Parts: sequence; C-alpha cells; structure tokens
Amino acid sequence: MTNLTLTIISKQGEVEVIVPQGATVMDAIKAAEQQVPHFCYHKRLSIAGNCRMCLVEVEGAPKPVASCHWPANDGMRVNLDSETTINARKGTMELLLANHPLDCPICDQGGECELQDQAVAFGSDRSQFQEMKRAVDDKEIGAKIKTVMTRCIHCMRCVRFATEIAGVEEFGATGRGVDTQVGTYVEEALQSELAGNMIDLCPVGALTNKPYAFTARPWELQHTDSIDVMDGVGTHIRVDHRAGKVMRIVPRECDAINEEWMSDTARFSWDALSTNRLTTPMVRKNGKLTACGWPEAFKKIEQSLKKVGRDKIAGLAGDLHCAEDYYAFNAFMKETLKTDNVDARGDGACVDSTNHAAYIMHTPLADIEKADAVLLIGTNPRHEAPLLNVRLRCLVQSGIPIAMVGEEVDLTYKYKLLGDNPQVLEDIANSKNSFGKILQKAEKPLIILGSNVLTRPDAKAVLFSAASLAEGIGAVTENWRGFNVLQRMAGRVAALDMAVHPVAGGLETKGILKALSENKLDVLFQYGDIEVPCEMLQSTATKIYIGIHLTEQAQTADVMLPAAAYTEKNGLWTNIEGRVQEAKAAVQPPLQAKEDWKIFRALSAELGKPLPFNNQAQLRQAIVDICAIYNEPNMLVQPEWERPGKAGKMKDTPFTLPVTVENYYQTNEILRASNTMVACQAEILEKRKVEEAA
Amino acid sequence: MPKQTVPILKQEEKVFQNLEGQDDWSLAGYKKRGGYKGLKKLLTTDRIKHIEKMKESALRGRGGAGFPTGMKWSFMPDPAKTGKPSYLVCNADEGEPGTCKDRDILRYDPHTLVEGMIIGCYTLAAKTGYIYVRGEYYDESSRLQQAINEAYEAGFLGKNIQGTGVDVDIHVHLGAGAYICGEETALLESLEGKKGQPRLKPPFPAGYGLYGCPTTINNVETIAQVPPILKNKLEWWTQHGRPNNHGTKIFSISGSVNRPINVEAPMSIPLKELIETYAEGVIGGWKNLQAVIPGGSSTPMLNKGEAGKVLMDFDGLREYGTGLGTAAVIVMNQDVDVLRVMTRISAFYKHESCGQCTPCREGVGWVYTLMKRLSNGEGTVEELEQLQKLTKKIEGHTICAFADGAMWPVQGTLRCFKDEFERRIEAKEEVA
Amino acid sequence: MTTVAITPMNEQQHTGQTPKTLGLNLVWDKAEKAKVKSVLAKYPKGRERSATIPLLKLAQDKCGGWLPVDAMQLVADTVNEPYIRVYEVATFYTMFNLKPVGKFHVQVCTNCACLIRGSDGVTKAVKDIAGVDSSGATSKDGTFTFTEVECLGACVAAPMMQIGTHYFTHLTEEKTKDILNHLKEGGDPLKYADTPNAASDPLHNGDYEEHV
Repeated sequence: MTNLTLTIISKQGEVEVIVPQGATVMDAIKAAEQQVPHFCYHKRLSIAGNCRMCLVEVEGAPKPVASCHWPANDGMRVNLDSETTINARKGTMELLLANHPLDCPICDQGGECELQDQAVAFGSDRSQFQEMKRAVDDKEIGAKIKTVMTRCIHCMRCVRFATEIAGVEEFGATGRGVDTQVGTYVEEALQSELAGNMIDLCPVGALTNKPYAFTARPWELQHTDSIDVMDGVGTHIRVDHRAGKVMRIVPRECDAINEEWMSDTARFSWDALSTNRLTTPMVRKNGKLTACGWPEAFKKIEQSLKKVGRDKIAGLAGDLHCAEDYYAFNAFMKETLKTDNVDARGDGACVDSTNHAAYIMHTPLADIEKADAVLLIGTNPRHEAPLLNVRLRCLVQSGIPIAMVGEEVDLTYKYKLLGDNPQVLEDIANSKNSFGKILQKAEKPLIILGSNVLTRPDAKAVLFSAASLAEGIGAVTENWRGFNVLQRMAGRVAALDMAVHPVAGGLETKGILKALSENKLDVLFQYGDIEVPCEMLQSTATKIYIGIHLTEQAQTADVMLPAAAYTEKNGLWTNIEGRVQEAKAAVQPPLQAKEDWKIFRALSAELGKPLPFNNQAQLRQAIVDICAIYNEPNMLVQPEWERPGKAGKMKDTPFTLPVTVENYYQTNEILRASNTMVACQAEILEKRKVEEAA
Repeated sequence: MPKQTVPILKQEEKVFQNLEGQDDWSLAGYKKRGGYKGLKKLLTTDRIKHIEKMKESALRGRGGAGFPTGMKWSFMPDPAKTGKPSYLVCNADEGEPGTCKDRDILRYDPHTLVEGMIIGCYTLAAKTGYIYVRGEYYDESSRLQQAINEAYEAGFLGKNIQGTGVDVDIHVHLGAGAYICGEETALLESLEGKKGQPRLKPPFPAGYGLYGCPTTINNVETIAQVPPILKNKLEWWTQHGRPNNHGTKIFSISGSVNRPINVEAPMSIPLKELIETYAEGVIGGWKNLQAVIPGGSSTPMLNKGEAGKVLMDFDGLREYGTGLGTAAVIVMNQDVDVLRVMTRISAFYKHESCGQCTPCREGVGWVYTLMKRLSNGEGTVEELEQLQKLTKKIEGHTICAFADGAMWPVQGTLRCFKDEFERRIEAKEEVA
Repeated sequence: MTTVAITPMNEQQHTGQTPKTLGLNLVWDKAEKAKVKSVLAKYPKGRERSATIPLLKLAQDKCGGWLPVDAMQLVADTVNEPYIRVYEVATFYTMFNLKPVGKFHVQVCTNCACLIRGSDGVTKAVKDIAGVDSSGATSKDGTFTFTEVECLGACVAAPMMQIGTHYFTHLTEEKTKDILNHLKEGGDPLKYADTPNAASDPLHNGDYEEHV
C-alpha cells in the first residue's frame, strides 16, 4: 500500500503528514493533530457527508470539500485557516443555528452539546436570521428516549445507528427539505435493546435520556469509571453521581469490549439503585420483618446456627456479585461454617472451576470480526450479550456465513437455521449438513454455545460434542480459538473461578433445592436472588438473605442483611472473555448497608472463626493465590485447552433460551426493581399484543 | 394552435423532425422519416469508434451541465474487467422551471430516444437501459412505452437485435414528483427505490452507479441526438454552432413572447434572433423587454441590453455570468413583476430541496422568506446586502449543485434589479 | 408594474397528529398482483426495492388517490423492506398524497412561465369552482382538490394544470372554468386534454389506464 503525503496548513503553520492510500482529508487533518468541526461524521458509522461542517479548502479545488469523505491525494495542500475554510464553517454554523431553538438553558444536552461547543469554537458571534424559526412536533418513541425534535440538526447519526449497528430499521427521516423530520413516522416505541446509544450519538438535545430528564446538569456530576453488570460483556461505563446518588450511567470507550456502545439495560436501570433497597438489617419478629441493628441480626444468625449440623446448612449465591464477594461468601460457607453445600450456579449449569476452558469465550470480542464462519448453538446473543450481537451483525453484513442450531429468534440479521436440537451437531460434524462443509473450509470458524445449553440434562455430552466439533473444524489451534461458551450473567465467570460450588461432595443447587423442599435443611444462606421460582426456596429452614433489594425472595427471609450494589463497592468483575476488570465505588452503600465481603468477614468473626483477611488488599491476594489471572486486571489470558464435557448420548429435545422477548428487561433483581425497565418490558408486551391482535 | 415554424433548419438537418407533433409519432412515421436506418451497421461497428466520434462531435450534455458526452462515455470501464453489468440510464426527469423539451420528444418523437438508447446501450456495453421519466409525464411515458413495445415487436430491442448479436432491454421507470431526482445520483437513488437524495462523489456513477455497477446517465435530448451524429458525416453536426458548442439544440421559449414554442435551432444563435424568429418576438416588441432567463430557472437572468448581444451557447452565456442550462428561455417583458417571479422561483427551490445538506435545507427557505419580504418592500436596504452574503454561504457548500442553482437566480436578480428592490423598500418606508 | 404578495405554497402545517394505521388489512387483488409482477420484472433479482415508487403509485390508485399508512406497509411487505424505508419514500415525493383527495385532483402550476402567462386566473377559477381558498383543500362535496404545484414541464403551453394524468394547457380563467364544469358533469377529459393517450401503460407494460 502506498502512502500519501499531504500538507496541512493551520494557525500553527504547515505540517506534512503521511497517511495510507484510501484515507480521507479528515484522517490527514487528524494525523496533523488539528481539529476539524463536524456533526454527521462518526467513526463507527457510514459517512453521510451532509452536515457540511467539516468543509475545508483544498488548494486548487474550485470549492471547499467535505473533509470527512474527500479522498486524500498525494501532494494535497489542505488549508484550515484560509478565508474560504473559515467562512464555510461560519456559514454552515449560522445556518445550523438558524432554525435551532437555542433553548440551551432548558436543554439537558446543555454543557455537553456538540453544537454548543462547536458554535463557540468555530461559529460567528452573531446571526442575521430574523425570520420565524421552524417548529417540529416531538415524537413519542418509548420510555428510554425523550425527543425535542425542534432541536434536531438532521445529521442522521441516529438513523444510521439504528440501521447499521442496532439493525432495527425503525428510525428514518421522512418528509423533504426543510420539513424533513427524524423519527419513526408511525408513532411507536423503539424495539431496540441498544436505542440508548442514539442519545450519545445525537450531537444536540433532540434525543435525550428520558428518565434523566431535568434531574442534573452535566457540570454538577462527578464521574466514576465502572463496569456494567447487567450482562456478561463487561461494558466499560461511567457512573455519574451527585451528592451520593447515581444520576445516570453512560458508556466509556473501549475498543476491545464495547467499542463505545452500551446496552439499554445497563444504561437505564440506575433508578433501581435507589428503589426498594435493603437499607438496614432486619429480623423476623412475630412473623414480621423488623428493622434492627447489625448486632441484633448477627445474634439471631448465631442463635439459629447453634447445634445445627454442618450438613444441615447450605448456601446459594445469585449472579450479580464480584469476585471478592464470591470468594468471601465461599470462604464463609466452607471455612467458617464448614459446609460444602454451596452453589452459585442457580441454573444448574454443568461446569465447574476445574476447567476454565469450559465456561468462557475463547475468542476475544475484538477478534470476532476476524471469523469467517459462525455457528450459534442454543443461544440468542441479541438478548444474552447485545454488544456481542452487534459484532456478529457487523460480521454478517460483510458476508460471513452464519447458522444457528436452536430456537428461531430475531437476531436483527439473517442466518441459516439448521435445526433445534443437539443431534444436528453430529450431522454438522460429519458434514452431512452442508453448513458442516462451510465450517470445515473456514480458516477461522466460530462456535458460540449459549449458557442455557449447560443446564440441559445432557449438557456434558452436548458440550463434549460441540468441543469436538470445534477441534474438528480447526476452531482450536495455536493461532485461532473459535470455541466459546457465552455466559449471560455478569457474576458467573467469577463465581466459577472462585469455585463457589461443592468441591467435596456437598449438595449442588439441585440437591439443595430438593433438601429444602423436603425440609431437610436447618439454615439457608441466600446471597442475592436465585433464578428459580420463589416457592422452591421456601422451607422450614432459617433463611438468611444477603442482598440489595427487597425482592420477593428476600421477603421470605428470617434475617436480612443489606449489601452493596455494583456502583457502591470496589470490585473485580470477570466478563465473558474471562477478562478481570475493576469497577470503582461511585457512591456509598445506602444507610446501614455494607460492602458484601465485609459482612461475611464480620459475621465470621462474630461466629468465632474469622476469615483470614482484614482488608480488600488481603482479600485480593487470597484470590490471586487460587486464581492467578486476578493478579492482572484487564489482561486477557488464553486458557489452556482441555476438551470440556464428557462423551455421551445427546437427546433430541430442543434447545431452550433463558431470555426471551417477553422477559428481556426483567432478567435480574436490579432490572426488576427499575421502573424504567418495567416500562420498557410493558411496551414490548403491549406491542406483542397489538401484533397478535392484527 | 401554433403556426408553421420559419424553416431555418431544413427538415433533414434536424434531429427531431416531429417535435411539433405534426406527423405520425409511431414506428411507421419514424421510419418514414429515416429512423432506424443504418442501425444494424452501427451495432456492428466497434464501440470504441462510436465513442471517438462522440468526442469529435463535441456534443455537450443537454441536461444542463453541458459535460462532453463522448468524454463521459469514455469513463465507463469494460464490463469484462469489472465482472459487473453496465447500465445506461436516461434522465427524463425534466423539472427545471421553463424546460419542457423532453416532454415533446417523449410524446411526439419517442423513437428518437428509443433508437438512441439502443445505440447508447450498445456503445457502453450495457444490456439494460432505464428511462427515468418524471411521474407527472404519465400520458407522455405511455407514448414512450408504446414506442418501446413497437421497437420490441420490430426486433429493434430484445435479444439479438437485427441478427447482430446485440441484446438490449429498455424499461421505463416513473418517478413521483421530486425535482432533485434530475440530479444524476439522486436519480439513481430514486431508481433504487430510495429517497432521491444525491450521493457523495466520488465515487462517480461510471465506477459505482446503479446498484453499485458502472452507469452512465444522459439527458433525453442527448441520447436522442446520438444516432444521427453517428450515422451522418461529422460535418453534418459540426456545421452548426461555434467550436466546442456544435450542433443543434431544442430551445424552449416561454413567457412574454407572442408564440411560446419548443424549437430545434442551431447552437450559438443570437438570443434576440431566436426570440424574434421562432417565438415571433417579445409581447410589445423588443423595446418592451425587461429581462430574460436564458437557460431554465437556475441560470441568472440577463437584462435587456445583455439579451440583445448574447449568443445562445455554453461559452456565449458564460461570458455574461450565466449559462445555457437546459436552453429554456423565459422572457419577461415590462408587464411582468420580475421580483414576484423570482420569489416564486425561490419558493420552488425551497419546496424541492431534498433536505440532506445543512446549507441547502436551512438556507434555501431563509432565502425565500427574505425574497418574499424584500420583494414586497418589507425590510431594509441593508438586508439586500445580507441576502447577497447569505447566497454565498450556501453556494458551493453542498453535496450537489442544487443549492448553487437555487442561489444563482437570486444573485442575478440582485445584480439586475437591486434598484427595484430599493424602490419598493423606500416606498413602504414612506407609507409608514 | 404592481406588487402582489406571493401566495405561500406548501408552508409547513403542523397538525399535531401523527400518522396511524387504519387497520385496513390491504392485500393486492388478482389484477393488481399481475401488475405487481410485471413491475418487479423490470429490475434485477434482489433489487425489488426499485419497485417501491411504482408500487406506491399502484397502491395510491387502489386507495382512491391517497396513501394511508396501511398501503405503505403493503408495499413494504411486497418489496421486502422495513416499513420506515417506504414511509421515507412515500413522504419524500410530492405525487404521493398523504391525505385523501377529491375525485378530481386539480394541480395548477404556478411557477415562473405559468405565472407570467396568467396562472393567477387559473387558480382563481379553480378556487371559485371548487369553493376552496387554499392549496391542498378539497371542495365540500369531495369533487375537487386544489393543489398549487411546481413546474410540470409544459412551459411553452402555459398556463397549465394537471388533472389525474392529463395535462390541460393554454388555459385562461374562462377555459379553466369550462374544463372543471365539463368534468364535474361527467364529461370526457380528452375533449380538453393535451396528449391523447397511447395504448400502453408505462407503469407495468400493460394496457393503458386513464387516471382522472
């Protein structure tokens, strides 16, 4: 590839830059570390070239060119400081502002508005516009996004995002000329799990965060870098908070994981952090849960444990905890209480800590784009990991073949449905199925196995078969790892890494639930909600619930201990790739709530068998001792390959999915506590009803 | 009904021998006038020779921009190398105010276009041609469709035309009312079933056109002129007009003339002679002339003095800061409220802006409101200066040339009639 | 020279109403299906989207001259495109009517050439006969809808108007009234229309159908 040399002329003088063939003038300007104002251009979207803000003078060209799409040429001289360039910018800015309402004081975008910023930097200080401004009706597009369409500057970023990235073609520009309106035309709630990104993309206040509306100004907010836990992707987020309260959550850029996108569950569920929280320990008195202090709650626990045999004690953990908390819970159960009846696999998945390769994605998210054939098994990535689906969609758009064994679902792109049960895998393996040949031929085949596959009765056999297939088609080589197990919950990988499951013959989830139903247990420690019906957790056993929300499952407890949500503690979270990432505490746990590990540490001391760590540093060291990858957060370590599962007979029962359209916004206790998420779910169900009626 | 044309061009010197519809428009009539004669020979001649001859003829596109047709054709890649089909698309989305020549070609002489499409497709190695007709021309395109059907029946279209091994299919595609679709890439978008919004260039249609395939887009008149240029000796064409402006051209003369008419005349004819010979002069005589728009609404107007001197060709009009455009001559005599007409033209551009680029979407409407106000004397003299500056903020800053075409007439009006604006503003002030 | 205020054309009107489906459950009938097929045949395989505009026209004829959302959806389903892509097209082009029109949609050109030659008289005649006072309005009895339109490309025959597919040219105020009264009484438009029809329909290569 040849390189091109261009001269960029700016106030700072002339700079020569070298860019590769195919670069645009804007690329060259950026290479020269100069700024060029723009609105419609966005590096992750197609080039529209319609805002005309990035016009620059190229010497010799008859008129200024739009630098975002104009190809760079060797010897080109680009003048950023000429009269032509400056006038073009000022002119465009004046025209953009002509019909813009300039209602900045009451606009939620104020303070972080690209139009505002660029008007200051590149605009003129006066306008000659004396006419009536255009007014546009606002559009109702659901619970997530508030629209003030009079502010729209028609950059079409939102339309391109919906079409190109989200794959939900519901947003467009109708009408013509000055009457062009962006929206859905026929009013309806957007059916995208990524719609919130349009808020970030909108350079003005036309699309803003609806639940956040009028609650804060951006300059009042403090920012804390964190990691999202609504799915297993590990999206980099920034928690914006004011006076100890989370006001909103926005994505951070991270090419390796979330690019700059974020799922709506991550973005819009923050209201749950201050809704229906457990804020004080409670004990059941006369059949009623009553608030009390920590000492009284601990005393009650101590009493209930008296003279109870350790095989009569069990512990179940949910899926929203970080590595430290799982470690502390596990240690508390196994060392303090000396019971092995502990399990964090509420869904009964068949994998455990002995084989790291069996429960993570081997292909780094950023390498998905390198794959040249994809097979999905029993998974709906759109609901289990929306940002993984974005990458898959991008792959499919480039023409890569993709097929599915499992339930037919809308993935926002077309795929080939090969069958619905594991026996199809055999046909693929021996190329009886034509897609087998495609996988065989592929140099970098990708297999993604849904987490629900691991919960089947024949899970080990399916896992084994899928892994064998992966080996057979060259998905497990030195240069390419294309075998992936997709976990849909944020805590699961860490829970398995921390071995929160029986290791010496104790009861697994299934066994614990059975023992509960037969009233054979005396004490149950339930750490967060378990994804099973509430009735299955009811028994005569004393139930100690440690969690963050007053959920249905919490209400049946005898003792409740308030813990910290993910925004309230420093924690290590392990994503679907097995990447350890640190989230920082943004705010304090509410009232008497405490960081989880501290609860277990304190309780262990109360019970006379203190756990051997006194601070988080010691705790982390203990974790590193059992799992070395926790020593280096953010690093990706490729696990040793060990074929997971066990050879066996696979049944022909169809694969099922844990998350469906009907419950996507309600899949964990935080989402269930969020009013916004409840509203989003209601919108979907409403639309379903209308469609069915039609 | 119109009287017989003053026969300056002999019938055999014309490309469009039935432009006034005095004769039979169908295949039989066209053949009687010499149509399709020599088609077989043209379809067996090396296509490179055709392109060379088109270059020599210096035919410049008749759709408005005046780009040399031979050169445009030479940009088309060899389909054997690209592995993609090539397309010839005829632009019959005639919408420039003042322009109505293509309509008469479609309804009175459709076979000239059909024959041009056949030869054009062959020369560009395109097996399929589309004729994009503006949706309002439904009856007219019905004629065209009938002509195409006749050509299929006679073996001039379809597989193995006249035993030459050449395959050409032509389809009529109707638009639905959008002036911007006359811009070639907007036309392609529209033909693909999208909104007619111009594409970013590069890439140009010759490389990435209809359905991403190499495509050439030509105006109706341009394509219809191809067969006689290729069939006749070069001099037949070059005898008319000045160098680089050769040939004949249809002029649409409308407005304040005694006899509005579409007429084929030699290029480089003086404007005054054109109006007086063919349109029987300005109503009230030449002395009663106020201004002339020489090439459709996008071209800046000429005042009376200029109109008396200018030659009607690409270079002649450029000397006066305007252009030949579509050669739609709109004559305005002293009885016409020029500012009202120009405001109406501004309203047209506001209505037809596709809304893609900021300057055009926001600016053209602004210009219209200013024109509306100022032409009614509401405003200040300073605002005239502001209007002039505003046009400069819009012109040349957009994806396509629409905004330029919307601004030029305003600039032309300010040049020729600034005093009239000022008179009205002062009159209003006095009343107040 | 007199100064006359220009009639504002197509100035944006905000109704505050958003488009809704009417629950018409439209399907193509047998004859329409044949037309759809011949329209689709014009374009290469996989490029069915190209048929959007012709099919919207067909759907508009089906719905009595305007396009309810249901009709747009029918077209979207036919060309296998998301609804919004068809909404965009239907709202972009002026020949698609987004609200019902009268039996005769009288479209009067008021652009430069027609304006110079007296389109004011034509619009006055149409307004008088239809009993409406602004562009886009429909007469009370639903006979006429009057719309001011942009240049229709018959400038040398100005002033002119289009009703249905027919052009009526060289108009005067009187002639316009005659034509409208003639149509209202059920007269043959071809008595006045400019271009007599031909035998073939440009939309789908089939037989020509007169649209008035």
